[in-house]
Amino acid sequence: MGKAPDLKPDLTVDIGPLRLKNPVMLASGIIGYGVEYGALVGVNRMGAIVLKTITMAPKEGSPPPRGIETPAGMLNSIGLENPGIEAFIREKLPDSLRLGVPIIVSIAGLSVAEFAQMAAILDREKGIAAIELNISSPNLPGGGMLFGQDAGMSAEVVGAVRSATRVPVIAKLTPNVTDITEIAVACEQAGADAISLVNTFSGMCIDIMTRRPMLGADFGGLSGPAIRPAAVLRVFQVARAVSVPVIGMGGIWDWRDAAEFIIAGATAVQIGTALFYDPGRGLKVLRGLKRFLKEQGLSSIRDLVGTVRLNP
Amino acid sequence: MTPAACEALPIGHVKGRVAASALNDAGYCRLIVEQPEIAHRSRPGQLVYVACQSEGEERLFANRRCEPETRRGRFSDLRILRRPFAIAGRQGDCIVLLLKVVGAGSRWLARRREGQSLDLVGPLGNGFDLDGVERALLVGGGTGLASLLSLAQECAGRGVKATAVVGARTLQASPLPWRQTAAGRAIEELEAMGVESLLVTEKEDALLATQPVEEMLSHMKPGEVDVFACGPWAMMARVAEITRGRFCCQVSLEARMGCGVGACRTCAVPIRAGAGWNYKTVCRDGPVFSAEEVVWEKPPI
Repeated sequence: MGKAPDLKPDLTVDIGPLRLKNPVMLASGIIGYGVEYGALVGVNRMGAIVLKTITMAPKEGSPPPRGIETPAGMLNSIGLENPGIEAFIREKLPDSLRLGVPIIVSIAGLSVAEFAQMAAILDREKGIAAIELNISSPNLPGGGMLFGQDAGMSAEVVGAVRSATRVPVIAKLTPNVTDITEIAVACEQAGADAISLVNTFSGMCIDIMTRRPMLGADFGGLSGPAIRPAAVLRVFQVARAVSVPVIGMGGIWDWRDAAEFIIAGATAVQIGTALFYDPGRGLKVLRGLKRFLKEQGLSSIRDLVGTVRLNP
Repeated sequence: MTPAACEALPIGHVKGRVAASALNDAGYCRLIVEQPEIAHRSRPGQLVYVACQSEGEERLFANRRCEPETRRGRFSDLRILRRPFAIAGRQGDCIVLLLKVVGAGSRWLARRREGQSLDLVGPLGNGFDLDGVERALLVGGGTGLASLLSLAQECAGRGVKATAVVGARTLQASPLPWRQTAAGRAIEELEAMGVESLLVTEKEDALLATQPVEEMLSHMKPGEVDVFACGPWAMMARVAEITRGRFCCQVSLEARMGCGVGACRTCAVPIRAGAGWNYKTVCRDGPVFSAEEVVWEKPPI
């Protein structure tokens, strides 16, 4: 493979020590534990999938309604509903690991110690490709985004997890900060193998007749094409600031958007909300990227990473 | 409640063809969609998840190389979530959808014409369980009538004696003939199926649909009839109360949805589990639940 560049572009990418067969991943919170969509998604052809975030203790999640459509976007607060790490390992993980695709487990702790403890528990399981640290969920009171909004705390979480596990560690950042590069650099210095961004933007919708927020949890996180330009900028900024690989996401709707993130500096991309509309979208993005590489005369997707040409 | 056979039914992502569409002045649309796979595999109470824009429109709305404002649509017109609809009946290779135009998605759907294509994911969810049912009492109102119509059709096909109570707010609020309203149309269809049906209105009859239901059930022996309800939360909660401990009652719930397959947990509803409760999904665990397992004290806002 890779010897006939005109025929078959090389799609493999390295996320730290983890080699992926292609750069198209499915984002956390969208794909559940990988099994729910059955054959609709073609998960085993993706570069990797990130499972729904788990916490140490089970979480019932936010009161409904949990999601609404907004202009070119979706505002949600699921509230990290999950069965807890113990039940996850017992009931969910074995089926996920049988899917034949690299499995990235997303975790959220309520403290630095809990993040490290969860990483240590996962370290005992075989077959996990990487751990993504959800230090960016706007929907976890007293945790989540609070870590990701402070460079010092972000570094503490990454450092503690780093020393608790051998698997690659990806820090997932929130865009709800003044300077995202400061957080990214702190995570890199603390030992993160890669940085993924962006999680959702905090948002709110109010019903003007009842004057009540439209989500049961009052506030939520905004995703979808509405946030894409904001996400592309942050990926561009972070890719310039760190030397570890960047995984870009935020409103990818089709292959053009994936290409845009890669050109901005992302080594790989994650598809989220678009999968709700079209479960086959991951495969379509992958096909589109292949075609684009051929048209551009590129033999490897890596030749596209960070090739944005800023205006003189 | 969730029959194992349903769990095994794979969900398809398929194209359907509009075979007929009728939109009346009240904004109700009856859409017949040719989709043999779903028509033959689905059960009453199951849903289809419909993309409410054409492929061309989707590309146009999403293509960031277009001008922000174009002739045919704006970027913000992208309808990034599908819309769930209960299958309201089956006709050969076709499914029937009944919808009311309430927003951009339903308006687009109501404007589809014969021969146009629809992008469908389905069938979703479990559907009603008619096994062992000898007599059925159907109680519905509003958009909930759609799933009851397909249930009535199934009852007719199985020789289950069905009676329907349809609730409506009023017959006079609109200047239109009442047969153009959801309730009026439902009565018409139910009568055509030979289902004995009763229409009650809050205004003219000063009655809620649940009142005649209570009256009917008071004359019956426990378990003599199975009750099926779909409509507003308060109505279903009342039916659950009336039937508790005496009659089996299945309800079909609604919620805003994301993925449609149980992965994202957007369409959560509170369901009893052991001594407590937890959230289950309308799209996969439901939409049909036993009335006794729903935590009625926790209505969605």
